[in-house]
Amino acid sequence: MSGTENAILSGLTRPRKASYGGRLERLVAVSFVGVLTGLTAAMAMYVFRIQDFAPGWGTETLMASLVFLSGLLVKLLLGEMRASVTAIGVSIAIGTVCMLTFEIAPYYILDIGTAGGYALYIPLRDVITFLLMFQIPLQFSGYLSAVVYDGFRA
Amino acid sequence: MSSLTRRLFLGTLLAVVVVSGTAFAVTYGGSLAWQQRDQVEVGVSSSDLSADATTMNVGLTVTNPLSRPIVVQSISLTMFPDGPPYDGDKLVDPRTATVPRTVIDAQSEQTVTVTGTVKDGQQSAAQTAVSEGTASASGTLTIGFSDRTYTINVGN
Repeated sequence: MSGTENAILSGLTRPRKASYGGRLERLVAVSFVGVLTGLTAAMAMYVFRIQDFAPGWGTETLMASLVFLSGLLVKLLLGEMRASVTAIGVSIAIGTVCMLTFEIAPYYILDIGTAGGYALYIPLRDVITFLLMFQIPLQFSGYLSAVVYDGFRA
Repeated sequence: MSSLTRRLFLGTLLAVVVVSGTAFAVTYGGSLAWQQRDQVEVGVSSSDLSADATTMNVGLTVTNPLSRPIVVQSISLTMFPDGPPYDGDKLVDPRTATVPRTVIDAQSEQTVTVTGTVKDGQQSAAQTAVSEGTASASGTLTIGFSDRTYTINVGN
């Protein structure tokens, strides 16, 4: 149905306008922006945390700015306030799930013994610390900065 | 908002995803290789003595099946005149064992030579052990992987 296709296309390519639009448009725009920014934040935080194996140009500063930028983009891409709040919530949730998966996955892919899960305690403690101290605050400050910027320009 | 600004924001989003994705792929590959570091194998391929029986040279074949290169950094090696259980006296002082710093590329193997000084008074025992072929090496090899190091047991 061309109405549905238009809505999906609009959500993906014109998210700002789509955020003021109908239900499907808003859903597509919020999911698209939320998932991409959440995934980016988790990937950048992984490089931020494991600097030993990071490429030379993947410094902590760059990765932290990418996380901040991902929060900023959530608001800049979605004009309507409630849609953007939903999107930052989705972004933080996806970021959390991805961070945890990135850490736990190798143990199951590579079949490394976890002693019934106990061996995961320390890596998970690190993940949660970085989530609460860096990922969520950085993303949220990016989001709030964009909100202030948007309000300033209104 | 203008279509230029719209494209700028969408472009920035894609750029951010690509940059963090690239850095993540490199880092995650390194992390996965580190978690498989126990697949690096070290085997003793040769052992011989210098003419005056004061220096022992041991050839170690290091196999690196990982996706990243590793660096052979240092060694603590000794030679026993018999195989395990190691009942005899040490023939070589482990602190004198040295190995040249070698980079072993991903998925390749290389032989490095360890040189050690035979302990005073053990020269004849060393000559006997090497000529009879019963001399066996035992020690730990320190391997560097990116910025981290770990040790592998050699011999036994």
